[in-house]
Amino acid sequence: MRHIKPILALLALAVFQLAAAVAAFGEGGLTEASFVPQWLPQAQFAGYYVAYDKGIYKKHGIDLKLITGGPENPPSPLLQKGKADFATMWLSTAIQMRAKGQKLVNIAQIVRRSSQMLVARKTSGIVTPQDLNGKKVSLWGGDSSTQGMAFLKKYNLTVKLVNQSDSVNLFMHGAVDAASAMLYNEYHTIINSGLDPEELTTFSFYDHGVNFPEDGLYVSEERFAADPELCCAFARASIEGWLYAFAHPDEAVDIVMKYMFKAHVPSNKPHQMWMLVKMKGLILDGNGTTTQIGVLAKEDYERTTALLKEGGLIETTAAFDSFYKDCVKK
Amino acid sequence: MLKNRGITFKLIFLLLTGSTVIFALIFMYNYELTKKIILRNAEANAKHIATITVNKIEGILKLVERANHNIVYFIERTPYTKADIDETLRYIMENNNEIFGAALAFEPRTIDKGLHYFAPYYYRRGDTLKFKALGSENDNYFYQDWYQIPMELGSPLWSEPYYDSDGPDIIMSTYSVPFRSSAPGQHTGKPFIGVMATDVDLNWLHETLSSVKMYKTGYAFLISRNGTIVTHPDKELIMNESIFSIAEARADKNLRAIAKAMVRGETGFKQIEGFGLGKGQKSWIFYVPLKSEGWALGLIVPDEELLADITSLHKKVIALVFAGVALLSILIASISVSITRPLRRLVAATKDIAIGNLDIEIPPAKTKDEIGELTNSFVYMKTALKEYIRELTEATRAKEHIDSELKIAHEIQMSFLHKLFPPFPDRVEFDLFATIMPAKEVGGDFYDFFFIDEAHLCFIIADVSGKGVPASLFMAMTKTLIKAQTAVGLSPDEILFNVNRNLAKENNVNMFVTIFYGILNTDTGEVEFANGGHNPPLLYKKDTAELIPLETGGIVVGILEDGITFDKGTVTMAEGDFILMYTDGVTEAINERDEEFGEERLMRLLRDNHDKTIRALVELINEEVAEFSGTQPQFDDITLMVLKYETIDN
Repeated sequence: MRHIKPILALLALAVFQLAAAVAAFGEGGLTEASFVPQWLPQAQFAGYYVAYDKGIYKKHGIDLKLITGGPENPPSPLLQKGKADFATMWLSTAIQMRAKGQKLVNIAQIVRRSSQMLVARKTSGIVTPQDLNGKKVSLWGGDSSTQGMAFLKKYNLTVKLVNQSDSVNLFMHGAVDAASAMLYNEYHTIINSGLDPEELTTFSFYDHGVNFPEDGLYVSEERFAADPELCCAFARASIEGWLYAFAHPDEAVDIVMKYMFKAHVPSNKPHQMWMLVKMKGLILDGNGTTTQIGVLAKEDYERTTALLKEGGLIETTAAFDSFYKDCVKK
Repeated sequence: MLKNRGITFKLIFLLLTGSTVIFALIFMYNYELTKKIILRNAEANAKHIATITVNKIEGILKLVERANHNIVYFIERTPYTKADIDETLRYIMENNNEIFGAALAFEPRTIDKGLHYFAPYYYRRGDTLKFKALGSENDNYFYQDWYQIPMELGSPLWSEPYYDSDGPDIIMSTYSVPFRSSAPGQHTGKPFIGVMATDVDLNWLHETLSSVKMYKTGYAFLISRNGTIVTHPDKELIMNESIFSIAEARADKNLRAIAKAMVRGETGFKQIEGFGLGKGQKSWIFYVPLKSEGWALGLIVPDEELLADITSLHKKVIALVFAGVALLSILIASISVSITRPLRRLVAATKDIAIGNLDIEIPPAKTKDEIGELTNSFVYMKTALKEYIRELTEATRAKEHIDSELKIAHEIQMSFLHKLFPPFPDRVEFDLFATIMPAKEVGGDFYDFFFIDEAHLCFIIADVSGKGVPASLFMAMTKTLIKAQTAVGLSPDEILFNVNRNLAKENNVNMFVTIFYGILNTDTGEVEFANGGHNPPLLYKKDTAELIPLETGGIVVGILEDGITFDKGTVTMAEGDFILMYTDGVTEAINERDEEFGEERLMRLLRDNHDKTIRALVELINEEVAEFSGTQPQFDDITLMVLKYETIDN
């Protein structure tokens, strides 16, 4: 049975202790801070691991503790309990947390569009969204399903929903007709489990107008108010890490895989490289320029809140200015 | 290029080229054939090893499956309590060492209405058995693959291998069997209520597979249903890489196609590049499915090891071919030398013979083949040539001898004839001039003149039939005979009669002679004559400018003895008249168009040039005849004689 919890907890503890030991020696002029990405180490977080590994955070005056994320370390509780200063979260997750009363602010919107999709085998006769009617469709649990639900609603589809775990095996075994996938992760896992892209039908939520920006950097409102300079330095250092990773993809992937190995997360280079390449497309502007990197557009925020409200997931919405602190333009 | 080379070179070049091509073709065919056989054997061998390995793996996994199914069989038919379940799990763990852990996981509120999660789990930790109750908000087994997939599919399933939570070195797979309630449900038959799961530590797989050896470095590996590497000699690949990610990293479409075939459960034997070996290094993969697990076993053998035997065999074959070709060239060289050596000797001999050395020794033929025949023919040719040249030399010598004799004969013959003109310088009554040009060294024509008495000049022109020595002898005889028969008082016809009789009497060779016999009375200018078949001489009358042929009846002299008589003619020459006598060599001289010189032409010459001196006239006629004949050879003796009457005495 899958019991990853104990090792990961142990690892997280080790990282904590190591960081504490380093801090105890006293890094002159550096401000201590901690960060947790929302999942296990992988190229989805290449920018942060690269910034950490290459000393970019230190360059920006931050002595960062990098907490290994994952199912056992969900970011929002860590932020709330003050066990982490910074975290990555999906925009939709953060809006919901904020609506539930957790005072979070966005200091950079890294992934500026949705990369989520539904994947189906062409052999199951699924070519258009309507073909999904009456089929078994698996969606991830929690707020990850929001976009999927909005997609199904948009096309007025009635499907048999199945809860999807973090593997694609349900789909690979044919236990469901369509499954959720991230362009940068599960989609490639499916391809590398023996299905060719030509054999698959994909419904990218972005293409179908159900577009939630994804990974953003969050900090508690309180922490931001106390040290906005530190928070913005963290955001800028993270973006610098990303730009370095895009410029040096091989090195970046090697760095990420080093941390994956430490965390005993199975990995292979083609998959991480695929992920980094796709992240680049999601983070940079459509034409590959960096002018808007890290910026949360107001219309994106408003569209997302509207969809969440529509879906009954939130009742109140925070004002854009109180939710988003623009660290990039400063 | 080739055609300018010697026979030895040509033979070696062509035969070696030909035999090398044939060798190469045979070699390639042989290589392909043996390669095919070796590959077929390798495939059979790999299949055998794979079958044994798969049976070994499945033998153990089948034990686990059977234990699992036994429990499910029991709980689907018998009512049970939570204590029964606990006991059953303990029992299965105690009696099945292959099983690392066992759980009976239930749907929410099935066994106990108050329990959302109910999944007792026993597992080994070293030698002790541990217990854990699975299921919590953070550990929701309902959505874990081992539970969810068999539940959704309604059929048993081996999970994708995964790392055990107790240590990253332990790779596990779980066999899950969905089970139904022992009691019928409210609406449909027996409802699905849970999953029986048995965990297996897969580390023994690594040992089993690492004991599989093919050739030197051939190895076995195992992949899961998704292509994930479960066992491989390169431990870095295990669980990290899938056969698809390796194919992607190498951009190897062939490997991806093989990977797809493997996860589809196909069996095959294919060539690949690399994969656990250096890039670009070719190897063969044999793959076979583990049907009930959905996994696949692959056997990799490097190409060079597979083909090691055939490679060494072919190295030897190539060495043998080279040795054979070398031997063949020596053989060809010696054969061609044995052919060309006598030929070369013959060539040298030919050069010697060409410069006239016929005494050169030609080595005798040692064989009876074409070369031997050629040598024999050559010897024969040399002997024949030598003989011919000897004969030729003798003949030449003989001819030279004859020539010199003929020359003497010619001089003798010419000495018969008067050469000094005027012959009688003290006689002014007449003038006489004659020339003779024999066609050969000696001829049959002759002329003669002499005084019978003071006033009678006898003059003769004659032409013996035939030419050469016989004619000259006949001529000498005739001349002598005429002179002997000439006597005072006898007329020309009587003299010719006598001459004929004498000649014909002993003429066994049927030769004859034409004779014009004339006697000039120097006092009167009267000429008596007889003509024995000779061309009529022409009398030019100065006063009338006419030409009178001097003819009488009479045939050629010397053929017939009896009944032959000759007639006598008489003419009188006046002052300035002359008689031209000639032989048929003049009028029958032919030119290049085969036309005869003819009497007309001769007569015209006489008329036109009657006033010339007789010497000038004769020389002119000779010149004209020579000019007329041009390059045509002279066939007959050409003899001319002119007698001109100058004055009548008193």
